[in-house]
Amino acid sequence: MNKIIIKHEHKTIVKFENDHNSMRNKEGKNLFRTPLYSTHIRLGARMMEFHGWEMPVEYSGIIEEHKAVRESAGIFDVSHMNKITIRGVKAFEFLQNISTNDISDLGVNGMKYSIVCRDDGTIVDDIVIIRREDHYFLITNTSRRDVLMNWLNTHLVEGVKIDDVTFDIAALALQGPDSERILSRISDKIDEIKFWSGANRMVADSDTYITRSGYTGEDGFEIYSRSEDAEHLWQSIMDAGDRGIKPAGLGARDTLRLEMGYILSGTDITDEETPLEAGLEWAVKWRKDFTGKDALLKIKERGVKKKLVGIKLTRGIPRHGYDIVGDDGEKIGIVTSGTISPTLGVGIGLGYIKPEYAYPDTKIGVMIRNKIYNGTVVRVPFLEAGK
Amino acid sequence: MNRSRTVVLEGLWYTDEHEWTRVEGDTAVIGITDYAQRELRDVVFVELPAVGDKLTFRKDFGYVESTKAVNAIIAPVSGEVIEVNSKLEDSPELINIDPYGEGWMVKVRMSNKDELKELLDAEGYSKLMEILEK
Repeated sequence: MNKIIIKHEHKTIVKFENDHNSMRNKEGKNLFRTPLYSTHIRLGARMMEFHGWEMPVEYSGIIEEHKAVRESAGIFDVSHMNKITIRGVKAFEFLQNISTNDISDLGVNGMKYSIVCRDDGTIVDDIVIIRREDHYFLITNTSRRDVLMNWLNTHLVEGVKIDDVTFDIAALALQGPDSERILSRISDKIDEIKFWSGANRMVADSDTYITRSGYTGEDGFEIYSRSEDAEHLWQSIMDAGDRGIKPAGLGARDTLRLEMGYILSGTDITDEETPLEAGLEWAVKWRKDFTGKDALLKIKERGVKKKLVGIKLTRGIPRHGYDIVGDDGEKIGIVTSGTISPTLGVGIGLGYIKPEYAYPDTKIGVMIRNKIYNGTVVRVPFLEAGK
Repeated sequence: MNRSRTVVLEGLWYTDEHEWTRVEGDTAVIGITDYAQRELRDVVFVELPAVGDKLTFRKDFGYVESTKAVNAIIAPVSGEVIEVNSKLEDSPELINIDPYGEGWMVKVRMSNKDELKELLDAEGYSKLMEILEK
């Protein structure tokens, strides 16, 4: 067998080298480890490089972990996510100006999805903004870490202080229908935390900040703590879990988000696209000013040249970089993400196609190793949330 | 996770890329090894040649996909495909469940039996397993 590296698949599995302090990537650079590294090794996780981090891709198997999250619960180490604090008297104005969503109605402990654009409307990164009591807490993408930090720092204004706290704060995601029940056993008033909001809670005697959110389409929580408490929290959640809870890796995280049609920054949106092509206009608020607004208004008036859609194949698995073709075999687009859907048992994906094809039930094909595999454009999510 | 020993069957020929072949007269049955299916984990899709297609020694003849990866399958011998395991189309997981049995991929009428001399026997492949699984 020969491993085929799919174009742009940066998720190459690298063997763990015991002789070194940490795994090295192809350039020989040492990889970052999360505070849960030894836990992953103890659990027999298959480790891989993910944008400079040594992360678990799977423990018992992607499909098994995926089903655990859909049917019961899964626990993910998401400490690699980029975490930033924004403080200062001008923090609110700064965030309003550099991102597309409107946070003027965001109360303490509220959270919003937003997009940082360049002047020409192209996307620097998508971000989650959480309003804490005295600052804003941002969760952003590992793959866009340098690009975003550079952008924020060059647009910094007086009265704003930006700190990268990625390495100080651990992050766990507990996802699945049993999440509330499990977390309630080791914390208080979990049921009072509403969807897409946060709260301070003691969990198993550790200070945490919890948001009711996730990237799977299931009910769930993202739990932020001091790095040194991460192992204890992980173990406490596993112990509080029913037999159905499973550790879940980045592999399942990807299949779960794809079934929901959630985009991944750096993969489904890159320097090339604006929120309009990516179907993210819902997070763009025209009533306020922000970087890129003029360019986006022009594009909106003129119309986009491509649109992000969901695709479903009868057989075969669409993957990043494969061509999408029309009736005559002519190229009409490109796949940005794809997988087998563990729930539906068929190949699903996201991709950009010409606007005239971007309607549900349009017949398309995907070119896989010089053969056309038939499919259709479908509405996302591929699954209903919570199903 | 399954930590039991990888299965290597006596009487089969192996490539160092983890394909196996069972010789029955002029016919070679071909599949991927227990080690290969473990490395892949969940096999979710298989693309195989059609009856009548020709395999060339050491060249790709099909593809096996896991959730995250695509792997080419390398021909352990040259010859013409005389039968394809059509069950794998709907049940690719047979490769995980029974890699040397129900998970077989193609049967080939060999065109050059000398190629078998270049393959590993069970002993040779077991030695490779010892190195890889250390």
